[in-house]
Amino acid sequence: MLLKKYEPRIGLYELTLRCNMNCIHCGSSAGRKRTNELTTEEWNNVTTQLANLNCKEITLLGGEPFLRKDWYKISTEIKDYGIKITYMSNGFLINENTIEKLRKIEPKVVSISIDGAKKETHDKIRQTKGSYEKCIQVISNLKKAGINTTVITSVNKLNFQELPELKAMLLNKGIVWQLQIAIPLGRFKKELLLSKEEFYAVAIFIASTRKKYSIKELPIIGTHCFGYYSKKLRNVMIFPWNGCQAGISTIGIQSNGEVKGCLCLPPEFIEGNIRDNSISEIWQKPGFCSYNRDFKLSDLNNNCIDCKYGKKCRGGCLGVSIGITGKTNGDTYCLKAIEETM
Amino acid sequence: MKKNKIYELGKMLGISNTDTRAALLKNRNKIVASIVIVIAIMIGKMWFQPLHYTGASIEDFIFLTRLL
Repeated sequence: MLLKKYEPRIGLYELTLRCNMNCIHCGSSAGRKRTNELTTEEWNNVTTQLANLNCKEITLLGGEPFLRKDWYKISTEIKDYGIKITYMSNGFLINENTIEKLRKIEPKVVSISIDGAKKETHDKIRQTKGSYEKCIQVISNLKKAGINTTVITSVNKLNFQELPELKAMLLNKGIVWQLQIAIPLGRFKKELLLSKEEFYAVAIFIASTRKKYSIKELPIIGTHCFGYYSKKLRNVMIFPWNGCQAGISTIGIQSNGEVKGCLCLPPEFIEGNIRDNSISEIWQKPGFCSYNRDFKLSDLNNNCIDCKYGKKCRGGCLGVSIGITGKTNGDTYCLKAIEETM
Repeated sequence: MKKNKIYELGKMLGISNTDTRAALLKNRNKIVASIVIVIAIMIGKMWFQPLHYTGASIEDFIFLTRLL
């Protein structure tokens, strides 16, 4: 019965916590790998279990997923089950050999992070010299190889002013541009968080760019953390916000086998380990992701209390809410709330 | 929020008043968008997913453009 209602359609694999960069906004504080990370066989077993639970798409991320030597083996197993694959990478390690393998995998999309229009800004945020030039080259190579490519920009105070310049760079390149706000989780310092005015300005930027340019010229989107239920702006996301999907349609698996509803959530949201229980047992366990499955209106916090969208929205993105306010179910970076208070 | 405030915020990123005006919602768009989404769900072409992790395939855009 429960499985019918909640299916882990999206699987998020933190293949490794190891990373070759040291980004200032990294929510996972990636760098060194976790002790006792899953083996190839264990990841493949996870894939088999998710395929049996009707999983449709798996995202491989990290750390840096391409640092794992077995990324291709793990990807092949996913592909063999007919599950779509997406990658989230910093791009630095993607060479001709990687691209050749990626072509065989035929991923839905490969997402590469670009965090500034100027190389100084990007390299400063990523704390890796030469990463900007390398990543721009990789994006170009991926496009040439016919692989769907998305550029992800995490917006903070350091790169906020460079968005118009980035827009000019990405125009007519056939690359999807995804904007998200950097959230004070992991390494990210709160003083670099956008103000609510800046946040709203980015939302205007996305909505106006989408109106001004065709999909072919510049497909631009804001992620789910980019505002809910605006009464003034055209939709900044593609789909209307329908509440956090952790434990509803999404499951996150850390590189040591620990399971959370979504990988962006902090460690206190770990609810099992695939080495101790099967994914099915964890997914069906009473109380799994209770913050979403057993949500009550009285759980709402901050500006979300008494909001008429509360039942559907459940207080926005849980990760953003916790990162910014320390409380669940009350994301203060809400377009509707900002419109009502300014 | 007053429209003037929205124009003012748009200027933070150098967006002209004309471009900001284009970003504002019109009721007609809400109706068209609702119909498109309902049809897309009914024919099984769309389901909700957290884009934060999946990125967005260009296919998604082509699909929506075709319907519109």
